[in-house]
Amino acid sequence: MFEKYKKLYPTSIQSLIMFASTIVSMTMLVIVGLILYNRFYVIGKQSYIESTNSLVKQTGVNLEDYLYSMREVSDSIYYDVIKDKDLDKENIENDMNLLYEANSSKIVSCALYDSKGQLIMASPNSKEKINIDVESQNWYKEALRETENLHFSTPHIQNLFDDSTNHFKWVISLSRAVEITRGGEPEIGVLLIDIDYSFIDSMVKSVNKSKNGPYIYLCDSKGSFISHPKQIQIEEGFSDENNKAISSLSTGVYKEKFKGENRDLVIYTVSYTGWKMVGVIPNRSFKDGMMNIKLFILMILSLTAFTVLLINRIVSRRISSPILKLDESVKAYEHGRDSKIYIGGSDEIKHLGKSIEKNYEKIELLIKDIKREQDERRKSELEALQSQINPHFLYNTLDSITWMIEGGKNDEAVFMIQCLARLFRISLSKGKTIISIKDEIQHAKSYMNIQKVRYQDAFEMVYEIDEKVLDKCIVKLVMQPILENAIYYGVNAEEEDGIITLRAYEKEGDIYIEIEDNGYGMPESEVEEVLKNENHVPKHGSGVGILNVHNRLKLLFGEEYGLSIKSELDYGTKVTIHIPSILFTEENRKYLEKGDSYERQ
Amino acid sequence: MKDNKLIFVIVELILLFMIFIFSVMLVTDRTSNIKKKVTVIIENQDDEAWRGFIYGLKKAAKDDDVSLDIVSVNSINDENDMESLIENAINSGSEAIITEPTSNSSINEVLRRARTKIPIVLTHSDVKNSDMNIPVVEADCYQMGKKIALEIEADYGKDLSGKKCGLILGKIGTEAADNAKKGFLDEVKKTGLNVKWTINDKSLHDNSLEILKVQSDVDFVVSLSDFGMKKATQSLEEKKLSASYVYGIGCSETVCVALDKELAKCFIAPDEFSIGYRALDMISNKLSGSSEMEDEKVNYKVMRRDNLFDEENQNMFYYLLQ
Repeated sequence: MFEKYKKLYPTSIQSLIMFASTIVSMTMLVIVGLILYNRFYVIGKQSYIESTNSLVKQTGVNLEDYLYSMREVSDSIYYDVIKDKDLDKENIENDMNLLYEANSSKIVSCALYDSKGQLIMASPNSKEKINIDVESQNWYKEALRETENLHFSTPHIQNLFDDSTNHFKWVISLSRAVEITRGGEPEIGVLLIDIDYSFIDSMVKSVNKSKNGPYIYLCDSKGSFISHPKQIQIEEGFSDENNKAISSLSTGVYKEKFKGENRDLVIYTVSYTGWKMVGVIPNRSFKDGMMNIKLFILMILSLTAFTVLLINRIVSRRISSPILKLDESVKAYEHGRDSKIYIGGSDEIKHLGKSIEKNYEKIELLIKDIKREQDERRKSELEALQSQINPHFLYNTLDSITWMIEGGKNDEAVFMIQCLARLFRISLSKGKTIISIKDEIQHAKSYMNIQKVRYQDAFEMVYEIDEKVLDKCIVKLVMQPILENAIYYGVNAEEEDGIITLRAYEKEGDIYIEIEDNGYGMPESEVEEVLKNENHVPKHGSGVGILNVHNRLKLLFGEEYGLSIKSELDYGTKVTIHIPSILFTEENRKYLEKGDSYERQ
Repeated sequence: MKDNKLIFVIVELILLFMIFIFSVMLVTDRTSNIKKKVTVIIENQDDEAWRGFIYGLKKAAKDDDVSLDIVSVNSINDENDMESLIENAINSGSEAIITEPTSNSSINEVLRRARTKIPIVLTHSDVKNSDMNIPVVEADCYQMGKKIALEIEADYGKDLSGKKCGLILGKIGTEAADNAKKGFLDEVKKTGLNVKWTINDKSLHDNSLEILKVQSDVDFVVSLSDFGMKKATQSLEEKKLSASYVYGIGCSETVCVALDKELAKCFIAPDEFSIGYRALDMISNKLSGSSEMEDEKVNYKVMRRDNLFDEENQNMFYYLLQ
């Protein structure tokens, strides 16, 4: 399932450090952001509720003061003007007017009614409407229902007096039962003060400035509206409010869910009246207010993420850069491009670099030692091979000379000894193993001269030597074993038509020396054995096989060089020496004799 | 390595862009969004009969966060006037228009053309004999006319033969006026009521008191418009109209005062607040693409002296006293 994402996994050390630190940082950032937002939310909401609570309380206290002042006006009229005065004998009109005038900015009218609902006195002087049934009006009924209390009505249109301006007035009626005296007889009356509603309405509206924020409304103890910013919409059914449900709640902070929306309610119960000043905080309004906090936190988080990423990048580069340089230098070392190991960066990386460098130095020393040992081994092998030739050759030659002297062939013996001397001179070559082809051919001629005498000219020797090859390098004594084989296996001593051809030429930068006879030849299976089987030693001759020569050439010049044999039964054999064309100089000789393998230029 | 560097640069650039966006959002005032603007074209805005309607418009505009532009003219005389008003409204950025149809068919033709450019809602009446299909918010005028007749029957009995009445019609040429008249006449034709005289709204506007003064005596006057009710009750109070009471359709404080003074016996009060509120709410919803506009009927109330100050009728005074 996650295979396709595997390629996204960081592979370099810098990416890994960057990836890991970024994941950790981002996770921490998100957690911190969420915690921060949550804290802001809780504190902000608390503060929001507290500020609304303060506003509700302050408005409630202002309203209480206002209503208290209205009660004081009522008390003043009652206790200072009405009480203990016989209304039939004393005129209270001036006193009442005076009190009305003093409070006319808040009061629409004040009036005194008797127990039958008949108007006794009103201020300002107004004409009572005809056919008015005061007894049926709530304020009157309430006053007489609980005579010991003052009663505040809900807002209503005043329906008592004719208004010359032909306008209706919104009032809140403050009514109370009063004891009046008429003709010396006490009776119950009702004192009414109609308070201008606009003052209370504007008091509530003034704190409802926000459109979508929290709002405050005022209702009576039964939940009937006194003032609400959307009162008309609610009455007309375009909006809704949970006002009836809050009538049972006392002062405090509550939560509710209304019409699917969570809201916080702050309720302040206005003293004496039981009215409730309600602050409503819809969750939506708080969330709107939290938008700036959200943006601020998001901006801080983005800024922090930006910085953290940058720091992560710098730190990961600082950590990984020396490692990468070390890695690069090791790779370069491994590919042979550069042998210097990077040493830098922190102490640990420096130490690592130094360790690697030391290890490589040790390895190089070890390799050199091994190579030197290998070279020495190869040289000793070469020398061992060459030392194998000398006894065979000497034995054979001396055998031939002995045979001549015994046969009285002194001139031939002298010739043989001269040839032998020449042979030895070249063989020794002052201890050199690399000689010129000219010397090697001279050596071959001396050898073949000896053999021709020994075999009584039973074969003919043909030389086809390209002059150009004479000054090139060759390992000494490589032709002799081949010629020896050519004589033993290629020439029939009883027949005198044997021909051995020595051919030397250069082709495509290499030297080819062919020794060809027209003797018995070999079957193909035997040809393959000659250059493979170390145990295949010729029955005659020096005892140094062709394989020996083949190995010597390969050892010195490389695997692509050596001998190749072509043979056909009854037609003869051709052995080809394949060596590189290297000019015979002192420098080249020394180089080759050091035992280092030849590398084609 | 190069890929990593590219990703790093891209992520850093994105973060920088986010920081920039959040910063801009923080410092700019997101509350100053551009509101949709709706123009309301009415005649004689100062007429108190508009109070409830305008209050409803204003409340809906506040609730729906719409900018309201009320254009009041003394009268819209011809199609050029209306065309000019609509063009001005469009040029000033209005996205919709609320208006009351006039009695002039060529003016109404301008509305037909304008509705292809911006949404229009009519109030109080549909256009007479029109297939314009412009949505209308109004009270059911036919039913209101009929209701007046029923209230008269309730006062005088079903047999009104021998009773004479004067009839003041509504805004001439509008379907609302025709429907109200039809509703009234349909109901009274079987009662034997003698409609002694009929005068139209326009004649009353031109010479109200004088024209009423010269009308013959009747038992009561029926007015199918608020303006007619005001003038009839005023004439009655000033004893320039020979009748006992006035019945009719009204929506102003003056008419309520007349009822309180028992100059009017009864009147039908269409819910003007709802007409204004619903008209603007409907068009606001249309502009926000949340709903299509359809004709809508609002309620009306039967107001009499004895229920004028009832608690259930108090909310009418909220908008009449604005």
